[in-house]
Amino acid sequence: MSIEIRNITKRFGAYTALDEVSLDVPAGELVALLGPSGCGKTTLLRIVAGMERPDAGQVLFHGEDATDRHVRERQVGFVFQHYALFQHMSVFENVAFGLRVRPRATRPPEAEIRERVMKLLALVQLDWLAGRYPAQLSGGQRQRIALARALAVEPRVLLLDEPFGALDTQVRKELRRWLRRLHDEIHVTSVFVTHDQEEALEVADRVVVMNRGHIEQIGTPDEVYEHPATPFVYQFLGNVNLFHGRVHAGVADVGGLRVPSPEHDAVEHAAALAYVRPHDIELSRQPGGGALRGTVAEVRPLGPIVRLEVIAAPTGETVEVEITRERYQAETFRSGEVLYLRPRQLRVFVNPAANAAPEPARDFAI
Amino acid sequence: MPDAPPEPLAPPLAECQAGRVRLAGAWTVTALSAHGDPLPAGELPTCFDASALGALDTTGALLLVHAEGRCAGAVAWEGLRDEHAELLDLVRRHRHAAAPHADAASVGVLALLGRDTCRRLAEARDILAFLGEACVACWRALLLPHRLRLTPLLANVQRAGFEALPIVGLLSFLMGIVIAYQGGQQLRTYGASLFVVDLVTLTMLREMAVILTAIIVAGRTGSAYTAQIGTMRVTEEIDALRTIGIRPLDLLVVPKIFALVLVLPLLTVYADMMGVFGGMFIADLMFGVSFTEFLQRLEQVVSLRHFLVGVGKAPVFALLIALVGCYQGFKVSGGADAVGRQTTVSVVQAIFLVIVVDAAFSVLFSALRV
Repeated sequence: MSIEIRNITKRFGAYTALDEVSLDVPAGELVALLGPSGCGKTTLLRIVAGMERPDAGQVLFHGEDATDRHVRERQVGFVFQHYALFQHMSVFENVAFGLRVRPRATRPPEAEIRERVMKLLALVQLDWLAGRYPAQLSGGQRQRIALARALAVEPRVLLLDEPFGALDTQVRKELRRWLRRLHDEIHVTSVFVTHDQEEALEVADRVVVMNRGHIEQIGTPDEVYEHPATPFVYQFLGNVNLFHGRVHAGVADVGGLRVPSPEHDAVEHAAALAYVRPHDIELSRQPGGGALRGTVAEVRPLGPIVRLEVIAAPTGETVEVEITRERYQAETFRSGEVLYLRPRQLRVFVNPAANAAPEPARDFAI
Repeated sequence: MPDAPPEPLAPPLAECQAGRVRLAGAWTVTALSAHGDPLPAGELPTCFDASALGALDTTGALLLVHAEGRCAGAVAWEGLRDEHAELLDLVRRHRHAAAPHADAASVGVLALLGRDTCRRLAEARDILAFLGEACVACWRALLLPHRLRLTPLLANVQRAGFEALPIVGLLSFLMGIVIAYQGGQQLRTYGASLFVVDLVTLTMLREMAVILTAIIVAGRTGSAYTAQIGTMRVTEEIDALRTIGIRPLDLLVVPKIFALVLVLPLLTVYADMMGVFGGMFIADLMFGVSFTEFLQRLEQVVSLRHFLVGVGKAPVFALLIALVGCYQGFKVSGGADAVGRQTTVSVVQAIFLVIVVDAAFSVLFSALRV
């Protein structure tokens, strides 16, 4: 079932959590809402679930207006960050609960409940834990039981609020792959909230990047990573180097480097921000056209990659460069050495004042 | 903070050039709020040139101190005037100190009154909303009794009623002893020891038994209600119930209200018996009123009316305790500490309301001459 979100606005007092947000989730897709804390992603999810009322706007399920429908009637499955399992019930009872409490007319017979619950527990690969209590399970197991419980009521939409947020890195990685496989198996329209860009890029069909109650970009994981629409998306998805410069008539001047930027043809003498990912910088010992001179300040091997901090000569700005370990072993760059940096891919955004994302703390805002 | 100079302030400027940040203009709250933060985003060079820096106040200084944090290393200042250096030091030292609360300074009595009124009105609205929802839920349960959840109801009856028998019994018995002993001593000086029967039975039946039971139940059960519902709120179990399609009130509140309304009158009857028995015990032991005499006198003094006055108040108190307990539970938000806080509030409010309503009953009964 598809979800359409139309111009949702939600305020908490003077604070606007969501500002005219619109979003379509096609049937059967797994969509990630990605953003820093406080960007409104959880609020949006709770509005879709019906646990929170929007101040304005509509939520449509399969083309039908569900804005005024109570959470009970929306048939959503919700998975909470801290599991929210019923502590005094066994695993089996937790999963069966949603079926047991139905009015007699729609309640399946006991044998069918048993069969369905065991099938779900098998789906989450925990059928051997049916008799245990939540307190006896590990975090990853609890979250899988919570997922089975959410699926037991045959939801038309599955909503997950930071489902792996409370788990440690190893379990989280395992569980998100598992979630992806599960989704491929059952194909329920799913929305999950996360602040972990790696998680969103790995699991989701589409990623919705949010910031301050706005949607910054919607796209496949590849699109948002390769072609970030705004400086915020650039900075939020992975490490990035920021250069200050100016752009004029289709050419950007970034720290003495002249870069063609045809999309800004009409712009004259504007301040610009240029973004380069650390792994998009070519290092060489030979000077050449389109290269920045810099001195290596620090070399940090980080597992499969090696990160170099290079002080660019003209501006004194620190530039992070990532190269593979093989490359590093072949070239053995040392700190103090003078190198030439050549950005392979560089994005220029005009007018930083209007759209720069992480502004410094504006303590004086009145 | 220095006063704003009379002439218009030069806009604050920060330019990154050749490995240094050149600062110029007025870095004051007025200029900064008018022109915005001039510092470029991202990492800054480690040399700040302040030779052209005009006015500076704590706001500007704080911004510059923050900017220092964004540099790769320690910042070298150039051309910094002494008074500016002092101000920067001051801000560096005190920026993490807890700021006085925004409205701690001096808020007018009127503002406090208004704020408090608004808070109380909001609270009253919440209580009314909860009361309404609880009434609707109870009404639904009464209309469709077969949908009433029997297991939680009986579990609540056991926990709130059966398990409270020992403590209610013991305390009522002791209360009977105390009343008989204190009153009996006064009565004996007038040679009217037999009247200790009137004293004990009427006090226990009309007032003491029901009040004592209600207070014990508020402390034992009302607090448990708050803690249970509050914990479920903290762990998001209440939200989980909603998404599964259950009204939390049906599952959590209705059985509790019904159980307590059922159990508190029964506990009161039990407390009546134990209290009178305690009085009887002391009357025999200290004042020479034998059990037979006591019971004969009791028959003359006590009528059904007295008994009903006491027990009749019990369902009302039960309703109060259950509603306050559940309401406070639903009011929990945040973490585990909120559960404890709300539990305390719940007990205090429940006992307070029980005593106030009991006083109201006294007035009512004396007006009706029962």
